[in-house]
Amino acid sequence: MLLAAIATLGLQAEVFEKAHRLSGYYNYDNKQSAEIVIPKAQFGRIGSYSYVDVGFAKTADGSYTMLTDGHIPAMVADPKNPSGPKVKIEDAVQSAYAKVNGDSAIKTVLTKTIPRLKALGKIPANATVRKQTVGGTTRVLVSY
Amino acid sequence: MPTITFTVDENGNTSLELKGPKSLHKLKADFDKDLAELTGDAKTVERADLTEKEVVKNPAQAQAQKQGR
Repeated sequence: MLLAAIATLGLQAEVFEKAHRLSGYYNYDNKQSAEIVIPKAQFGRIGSYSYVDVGFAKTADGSYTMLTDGHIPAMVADPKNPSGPKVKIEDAVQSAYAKVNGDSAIKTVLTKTIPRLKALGKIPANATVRKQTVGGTTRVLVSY
Repeated sequence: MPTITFTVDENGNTSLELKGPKSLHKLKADFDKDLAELTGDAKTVERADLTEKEVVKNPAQAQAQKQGR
């Protein structure tokens, strides 16, 4: 899902089995490594620039910690407001991840949970299902 | 009239609201199961009243908060 979120930003991440050394601007930037890497050259594809590779290092609990330049962050389009001001890459990834995650949850509820509840007779087969999107919030309403 | 409202906000937080007979709250387990398979991070909060609502925080946001952002 993280890779899908990165892809929605127009960036292509590389995945490594073992943590890959990130390329940076200063020597000390080169000491970090991560399993998922957005090469700095990728940012040119979306009209942006990054001095360093952006990495996602896998932690013990399976989640990923983002590694980026804390001094001059790459600025990219805001997934919540693409025509608005650019935002830091870390904020954009977080928003994109939330959107991908949210869209998957809605899809799961509509295509899996509700049909199963109907098939099992837990809710009536003729229950009305509506999907509403207002602003950034999406609701699935079931009534019977 | 029983109603089930599943909501996802712009930050990826999900909530489930069940209104109707008490037996309706059994359905929460079905939503939890499917969302847990999806995110691996579903948490349950049991409430005794007829209307229940829970929020599952988006894992990315939780991670960011852990980092102090």
